[in-house]
Amino acid sequence: MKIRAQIGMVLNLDKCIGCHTCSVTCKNVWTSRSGVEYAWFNNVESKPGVGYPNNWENQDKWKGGWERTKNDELKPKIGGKLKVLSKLFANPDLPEIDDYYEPFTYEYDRLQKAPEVKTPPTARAHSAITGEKMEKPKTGPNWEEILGGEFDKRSKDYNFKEIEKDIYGQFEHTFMMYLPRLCEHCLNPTCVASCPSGAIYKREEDGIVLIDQDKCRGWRMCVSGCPYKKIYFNWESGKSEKCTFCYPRIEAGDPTVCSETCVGRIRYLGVLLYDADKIADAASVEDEEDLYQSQLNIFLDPNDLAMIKQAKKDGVPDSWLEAAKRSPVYKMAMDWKVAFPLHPEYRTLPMVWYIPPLSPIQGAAEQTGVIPDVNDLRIPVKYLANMLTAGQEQPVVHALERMLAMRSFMRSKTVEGIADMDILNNVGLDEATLDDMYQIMAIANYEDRYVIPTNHREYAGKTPFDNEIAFENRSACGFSFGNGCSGGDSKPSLFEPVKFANTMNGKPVDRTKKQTPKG
Amino acid sequence: MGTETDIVALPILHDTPAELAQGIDVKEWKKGECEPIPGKTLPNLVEVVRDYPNTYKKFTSLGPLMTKVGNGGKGIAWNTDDEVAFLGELNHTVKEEGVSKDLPNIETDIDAAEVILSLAPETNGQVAVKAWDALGKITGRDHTHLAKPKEEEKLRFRDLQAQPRKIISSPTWSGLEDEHVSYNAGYTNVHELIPWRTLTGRQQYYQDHSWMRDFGENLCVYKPPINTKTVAPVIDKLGNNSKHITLNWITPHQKWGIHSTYSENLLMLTLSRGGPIVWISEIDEKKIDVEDNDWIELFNVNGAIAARAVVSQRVPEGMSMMYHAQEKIINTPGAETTGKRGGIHNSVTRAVVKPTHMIGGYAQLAYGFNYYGTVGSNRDEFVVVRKMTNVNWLEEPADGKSGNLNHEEKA
Repeated sequence: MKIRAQIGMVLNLDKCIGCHTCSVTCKNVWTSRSGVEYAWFNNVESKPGVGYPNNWENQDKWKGGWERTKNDELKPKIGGKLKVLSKLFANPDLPEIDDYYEPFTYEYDRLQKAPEVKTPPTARAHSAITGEKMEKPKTGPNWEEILGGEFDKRSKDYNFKEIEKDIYGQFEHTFMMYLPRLCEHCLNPTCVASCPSGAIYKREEDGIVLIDQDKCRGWRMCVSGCPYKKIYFNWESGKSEKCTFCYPRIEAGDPTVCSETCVGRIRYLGVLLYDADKIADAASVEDEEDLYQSQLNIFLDPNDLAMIKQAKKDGVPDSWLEAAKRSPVYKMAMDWKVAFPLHPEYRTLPMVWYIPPLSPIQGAAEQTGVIPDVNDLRIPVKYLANMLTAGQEQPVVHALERMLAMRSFMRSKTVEGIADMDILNNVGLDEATLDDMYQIMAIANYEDRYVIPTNHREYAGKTPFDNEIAFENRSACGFSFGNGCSGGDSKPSLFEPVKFANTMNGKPVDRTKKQTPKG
Repeated sequence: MGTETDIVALPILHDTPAELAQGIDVKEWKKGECEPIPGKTLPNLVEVVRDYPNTYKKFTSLGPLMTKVGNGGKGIAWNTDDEVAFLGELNHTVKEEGVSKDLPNIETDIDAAEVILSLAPETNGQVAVKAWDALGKITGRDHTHLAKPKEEEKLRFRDLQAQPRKIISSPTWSGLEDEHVSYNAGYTNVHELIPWRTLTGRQQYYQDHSWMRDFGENLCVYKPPINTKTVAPVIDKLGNNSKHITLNWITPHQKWGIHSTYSENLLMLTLSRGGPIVWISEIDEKKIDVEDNDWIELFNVNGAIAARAVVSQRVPEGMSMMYHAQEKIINTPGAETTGKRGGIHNSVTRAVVKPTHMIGGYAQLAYGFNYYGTVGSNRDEFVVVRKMTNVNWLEEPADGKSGNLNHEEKA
């Protein structure tokens, strides 16, 4: 037994309003630079749809995640070490820029500086990569916003697996949900296993997966290996980049930017304790449908005294053990069983979990029983199960029933003044647990959503990346690209230098000329 | 110009005794059906003195009418002597000789904010008490308990600069801002027994005004779209050989805001389709051989739009939808029918005055600025939709000679 701790995230899809504030604040903080114009460490998809990059969930095509070998072991779908090396110079499983989208900007300048023209000027789109004018963008990071695009195209969505989907293309049977996505900071990350340079690591103290910009050689095998397509190649620096889980904020006990700015207060951050020795077994169970349960089995009860003793021995700080007891993520995933991992069948043991959304009840007038039948919800249960439990419906049904029960119970309590215990008995909840669920899931106060212990000085010196945390780094440069503190200057790269920066005013920045500082 | 006197027509106003001026029947004085009596059968005619040379002085001070007639709104009024005196001390008074001498200053934007904050019941507890007291004179009940606990509270500009504050309950609104209930319209009418400001003093669903009955709108009713005669004249004249279809036109607000703000910066355009779009149904796309993201033109007698189609199952057959105010400044080509740059959502609509909005002098159907009057009703429209055959960016300069300006050339 080897106890480790990780800050996990839960997103309550029942409350996501699709405002994209998480994407915008993340983009502004992390990827508003040239080379990663097309990269959205956080994006929000309208489902059903093929998402961004195009059809990312289809691992027959992209070969992300792990597969089980004949002798019950796991190997990355893109192949083991030898196969990866053999594909270094021609990787067939790599998405191209058009699978994401060609980033664009506008000639905003023309609106002010056009000469006298016959009809009012317009700011035309041009590519942020080539600088060429574009007649129109052909795809984007949120192309399917609110079900944009023909059902025929959107229904290539992998989550329709084993569903008679045609009926859901009819106006009367339309359903929709939002899916905000970021790096899953998996317990068993394929990106780490795919990297030929050993540049990707999972931090021992908090589980955050990072790419060492000094070690990355830009082979891009991680881009293929990651089944969530959440590693992006910076075509200017020639290195890969990914969601950092805003680790400088997490270390200080602050929530990630996407969580902090979430308007619907749908995001939760908290500690999960797990047994690192069980990871390999949990990820390689034979039946995909068992992966959700096998992942639950490696999480440890934060109130178990024997576990606490072992955790202290394994170096988990007291403040983390205390935080684990109040972790909203543990409560939702383990105690209440309302949160699920995204696509457990990829066998990466993801650590960003989702509460499935409720949806309008069809035929509510004919409803019998204390809570509605989840099969009457507009979003098919099977669709959610394909997304969250490798197709196993029972856990999703159980979660949705508990959420419906919470609604009915609180309604009867606050509107009619009656605590209807029948409702709770139906779903195996007692009133104290329900109150806690209501407080955390519905009221969602800041302190209840984010229970984040700060990082510890004692980690410095014990981990391979100790100097990242330590005091000596005060006043040093912040986020950098493996080029020291030299700011935006780039070393010579394989690619032509960028001529058209993705600037908001559409003005060209000619990087081939030396910039002279303005006096 | 010196001092001029204008005669201004002032509508028969809601919340004044005149709101019942035409309570029995509507008669037309122009046709000799009744006597022309200002404020009863025609608008009030009021004299307004325009003291042009003193415009600046009047604009930068709090006028003397505040102490003469007080302040108020929605049919109630109260004395403001204390607040005017207070503002004289806070903003200082005008020292310069002239019409504004000794009146409180409104020299800066902060002065103006302080005047509003001091005079409004929502941000000055003592005014709120006075306002509820004034309402009590009409209802015969004591409402001051709604503001008494906050009588000493006063919000200053610096308070609001530091952080948002909870306002004080005021009779200008029908809900309360307090600890046991969130703002909820009609709350004080129910719980403080304040009559609704209608003909009957109750919530009224039935409209018995003769015009309402003539138009069949005495109760809420579905009305099919009217024929605005905007499609037939152009459909043959401007049609070309490509297939077209006539669709109903709706222009709702988008998800993030109401006008172009927010939606036209690079990030939000990237998170949408990067330019003007119109939503149509999957059924209609097939009728005109359009596919998602194709350029389409929409037109009628009023004007034309050039945009890209978003085809979606959530749009029912027969409907087209363009979210409000995607201005034509972003990636909008020319419209083929007009030869000019494609327009915005309102290019194919026209403001039409609805006769029932012109009812006046009838309690709740009496004019109130920003509340009731002849607003435009321009959303009941049809458009011809077809695929664009030629995407022209219309970048030729007016003189027809100089070359196109692109982003590499200086204007």
